[in-house]
Parts: sequence; structure tokens; C-alpha cells
Amino acid sequence: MVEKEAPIAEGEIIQRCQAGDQEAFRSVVESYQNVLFGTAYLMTGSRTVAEDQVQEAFISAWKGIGSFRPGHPLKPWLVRILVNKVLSYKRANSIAVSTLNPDIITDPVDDPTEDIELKDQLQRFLPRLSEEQRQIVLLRYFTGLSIAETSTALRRRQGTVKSQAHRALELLKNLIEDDNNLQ
Amino acid sequence: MSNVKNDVKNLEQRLYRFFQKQAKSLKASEDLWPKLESRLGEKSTDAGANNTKRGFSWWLSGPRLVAVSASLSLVLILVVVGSLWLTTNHTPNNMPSTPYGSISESDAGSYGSIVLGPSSGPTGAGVTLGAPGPTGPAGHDGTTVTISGSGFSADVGVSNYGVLDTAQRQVIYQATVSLEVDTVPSALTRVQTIAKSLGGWVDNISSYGGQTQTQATITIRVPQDQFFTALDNLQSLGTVQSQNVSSQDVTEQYIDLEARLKSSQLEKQSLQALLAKVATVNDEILIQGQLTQVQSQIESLQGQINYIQNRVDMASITVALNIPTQNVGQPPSADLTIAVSNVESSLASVKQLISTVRGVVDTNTISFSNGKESAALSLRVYRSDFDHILVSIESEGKIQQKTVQETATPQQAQIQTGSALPPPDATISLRLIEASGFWTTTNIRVVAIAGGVVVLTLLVFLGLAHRAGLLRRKIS
Repeated sequence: MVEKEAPIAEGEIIQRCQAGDQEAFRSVVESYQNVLFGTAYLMTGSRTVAEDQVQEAFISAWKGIGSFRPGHPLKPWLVRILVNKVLSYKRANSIAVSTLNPDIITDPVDDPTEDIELKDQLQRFLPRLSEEQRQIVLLRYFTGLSIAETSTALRRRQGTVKSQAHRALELLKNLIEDDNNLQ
Repeated sequence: MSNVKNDVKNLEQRLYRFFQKQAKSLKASEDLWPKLESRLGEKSTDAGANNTKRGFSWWLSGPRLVAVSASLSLVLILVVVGSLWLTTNHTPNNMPSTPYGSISESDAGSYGSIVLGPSSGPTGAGVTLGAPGPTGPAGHDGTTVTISGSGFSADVGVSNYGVLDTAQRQVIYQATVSLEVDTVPSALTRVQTIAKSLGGWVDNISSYGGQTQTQATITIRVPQDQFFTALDNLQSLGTVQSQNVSSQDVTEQYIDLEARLKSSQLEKQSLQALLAKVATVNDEILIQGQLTQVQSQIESLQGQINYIQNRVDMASITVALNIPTQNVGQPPSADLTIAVSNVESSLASVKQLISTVRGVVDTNTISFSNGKESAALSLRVYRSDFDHILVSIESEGKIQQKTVQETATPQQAQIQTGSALPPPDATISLRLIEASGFWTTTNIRVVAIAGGVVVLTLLVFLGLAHRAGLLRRKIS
């Protein structure tokens, strides 16, 4: 049997935000701005657009913080707002840049041998995944959300997210395996 | 050459490490907060619109501010214009024929009555002021406070009677106050004490509700100059539910009676003088008879004057006392077990529901047992919300177990606007369990309906095909 308990400190900050405390909201922004920016950047491929969308997401979060249910984690909620903003922006501006576009993946700094190989493989194989699968990979491994949190952020059923994540990993694994065998 | 482990778990870990390194190189610009802060300031009213703790300052913003300002300005203009009109045009000729002011529409017009409101509260009644007039007792939020009458204005008195001032005017003050008190007998005693301390007395007491005395009505008389002091003191005994203050200007009637009395007294003196001069017995008898009539008339007039004087000197206040309805009956309670398709979403939905009716979630436990999720909640809501909240919760899924304890008087006490909210006391113990299997009642219904539609469509198709001869041709 597993008991679930809401994080206390974050709960207090949320309550202060709901009471209109901008300083409390500042701490929320500072905690999540980098991860949201990275997520937006990997979805759009543009730093300017990513910064704009992160701003819009935070503004929406401030406006809607009253409807946030205390006791729930804030991160997936913020990510959901951001994902909606980015997708709306892409639709409105007819931007076809896919999530996790291989061109925008930067060169790894540490452990270059393994990472450069993985980067090379991801650049070749990520386009083989569907847009939905790429979004799930992004939110799971870059944004750091659990299956449940990813399902919240993408407004999809947990089962769907779980199966899509599994399929994406299976596909990547097979492609990387074949690639390794060829070498 | 490659050391890549090809199992999915390993790939997951590699992906996580790879992307976390990516994350280190992706930082938001440092001036994000300053940019945001300026925008938060611009949209602070919008932000407030969605905050749960909405203050009056938020409410009174935007279009509402304009509307409220316009309404207040309009009311202010009406008050000023009404006051000016009263001071310039109010002559004795347009005095109402009835002694009471602010009753009929025409009277209200001549006295410039102003209706403000409606104020929020249990009765939803407004505040009616007979204007202009002295400062009367202030109305409590959510109560009915009616002040009416012709005797409240000193200005009116001057213009009506020229040399008359307020002190010379004869005005009967009356009030009816309905109070909600903790215990009626002790409140009765305190009302009597108030009357005596102000130099008055108790006119009448009646109580109901047997020995417990849940209701009582008491009428007290207090000196006119202590009228508003008495009202203030009475209001402090409990919660004012309604209050009606009225005045009756009897100056005209009083002056008329005094004039008639003076005239009768003069007549009496004349008759007495005449009586001293009469020479015959017949004349003496005739004058004596007239003198008796005049004397009787004088006594009657003096009696009426005394009665009015007494009513003017001693104002009358009737106080209705009753205990709050919340002191009667126990709160309702319910114990529910509901099978739902998704425990987490139902839990969120229930919490949202409870928060909308200012209820409280006392405890909230989610647990996993035998691969199934369940949640246990302890909720409290206001009695007035108990029934519909129960119906809403039941609609979340299939009821497995239900025990409801209703009470004879499920309504909690009316909540006075502006006063502290009492905590909700109707309890709901809720257990949400995950529904098992595909063949739930809803699914069986859907499958049955869908199957029926398919079979019906097939039959119709076969019928049409048969009529068209398609089947016969195919068979042949």
C-alpha cells in the first residue's frame, strides 16, 4: 500500500500565489523557467519563440493559479500550459518544426564518445517516431515527468502515454540495435 | 565497438542522461522575471479574476467600478435634488392628509423617500429611508431596516409650521425589532432591564414554545429622547433580523385639540360670567346645561391631549425574540462507497465540487491495494448543500454502499453577510474504489443499445433488399 502526500513547501507557495503574492510567483518562475524554456525550445527550434511562449505560459499560469487544485504537483500543470501554448502557436503560425528536431540537439559536453554516438543515432532515428511519441520522449526524459505527469501534461490517458512511450523506446532500441550490428 | 546495451531499460536511462545534459545548456534568459513582472502588473485584475480568494477590491474593478460609481452618483444626485426640492417647495398645503408619511407612493414623493438596495441577506429586502431625517439606527447587513414617517425631519417642521421647531412638534415614535438571540428568557430579562434603565416600563410580554421559550414578544415604552438609545441597546442583544422604525407626526392634531380646548375654556368662562348675571331660574338652568356640556367637552379634549402627550413622551418599541434555527437539530451525515472508472479523476472532481460550495476536505488518502486504486475522503459541507452535493458525488460512479442520516431540520442557520462564516457541519464519508472489468452497467447498456441498432439496421436492410428482389436473384 502506497500513501500519496502533497509536497508541503510547494503547497504553501501555491496558496500564496492564489492569494495574489507576486513574490511567491517569482519563486515559481525561477524554479521552472529553465525546464520550461528547454521544453519549448526543443518543441520549436527557436530561442525567441521559446522565450515568448514561456512568458505566455507563465502569464496564463498566474491568471489561472486560482483554479489550480492544491495538493497536486505544479510542474505537470505548468508543462501542460506551455505545451498548449506552443502547439497553439505552431498551429496559428503554420510552423512545421517537429518536436525534438535533430538539428537543434546540441553537442554533449561530458563523455563525448558515447554521447556523440547516441546524438548521431537520435538525429537519424528520432524523425522515425510520430510527433506524439516525440512529445512523450521529450517530456519523459528532458522535462523529467513521470508517466502520470506526462499524461496530465498532454491530456492523454495514462495507458495511452505508457504504450506510446514503450513503442517509441522499442522502435529506438531496434533501430539502434540494427545500426550497431551494421557497424 | 559499441557498448550500447540494447534493452529498453538501459536505453531509457541513456536517454534520460543525454537529455539532462542537454538541459544544462538550455537556460532561460535572465531578464524573464522583470519582463513577466511588468506584465503581471498590467494584468493584475485579470489574475485576480481567477484567484480563489477574491477580494472586494477585485470585485469593484473594471465595468463594475463604472457601474457602481454611476449608480452611487445617481443616488447622490437624487438625494441632493430631493433635499433641495423639499426645502424649497414643501409648504403646509402639500402636507399629506394622512398622519403617516412614506406609505403611499404620493406621500413618498412629497417626503422624498429614497429606496436603496436591495441589500444581500436572508430576506433580500432593501433599506427604505424616509428622507430627510435624523440619523437613525444603522441597518445590519442582511437585515430588513425600514425607517419611515413624517416626524423625522426638523427642516420639514420649520417649513410647515413657520415658527415651530423640533421641540414643539408632537411626534409619536414606534419601532418593531426582530432579534435572533441565544436564549429567549435571558433576553427578555435584559429587554426589561433596558426599559427600566432608560426610565421606561414594560407594556406587554407574550412568549411561546412552552418551558423552553423559543419565541417571545415584548413591548416596552421609553422616553422619546431615549428612543434611539433604546434601539441601539436592544440591537446588541442578538442578531437583528428585521427592524421597522416609524414616526407619526400628530402636531396638527395636537394644535387643533389645544385650540378647541382653549376655545371651550373661553366658552366656559363666558358661561360662568353669564351665570353670575342671570336673574331668572330658567336662564340659570339653561346656562348650567350649556356649562355642563362645555365642561364635558373640555374633559374629553383634555383626555385626548393627555393621550397624545403620553404617546409622544413615551415611545413604543416591540421586540420579537427567537432562537437561531441552527440550535435545532443535528447535522445530516452520509457514508458512501462508489465504484468509479478512474479514481484520481473522480477524486479531483469531488474536491473541485467541495471547494465550489465552500466545503472542507478533512482527510484525503489514496491507496493501492491488490493492483487497484482507492481513495478515502472525509468531507464537510453546509447543510443547505448536503443534498445536491450527495447527488453530484453519486453521479461519479456506481454506488456500492450508502448510508444517509437526515435530520428533521436540515437547514443550517442563515449566514449573515459580513459576519464570520460558521464551519460546515454536514459530514460525508466517501470511499472511491476502482470499478473492475469491462462489463460495467454502463458498458452493458452501451453494448446492448449498439447491438440493437446494428440488428435493426440489418433487418431493415434485409427487408429492403428482399423487396427489391436482390435476395431472390442471388438465391436463384
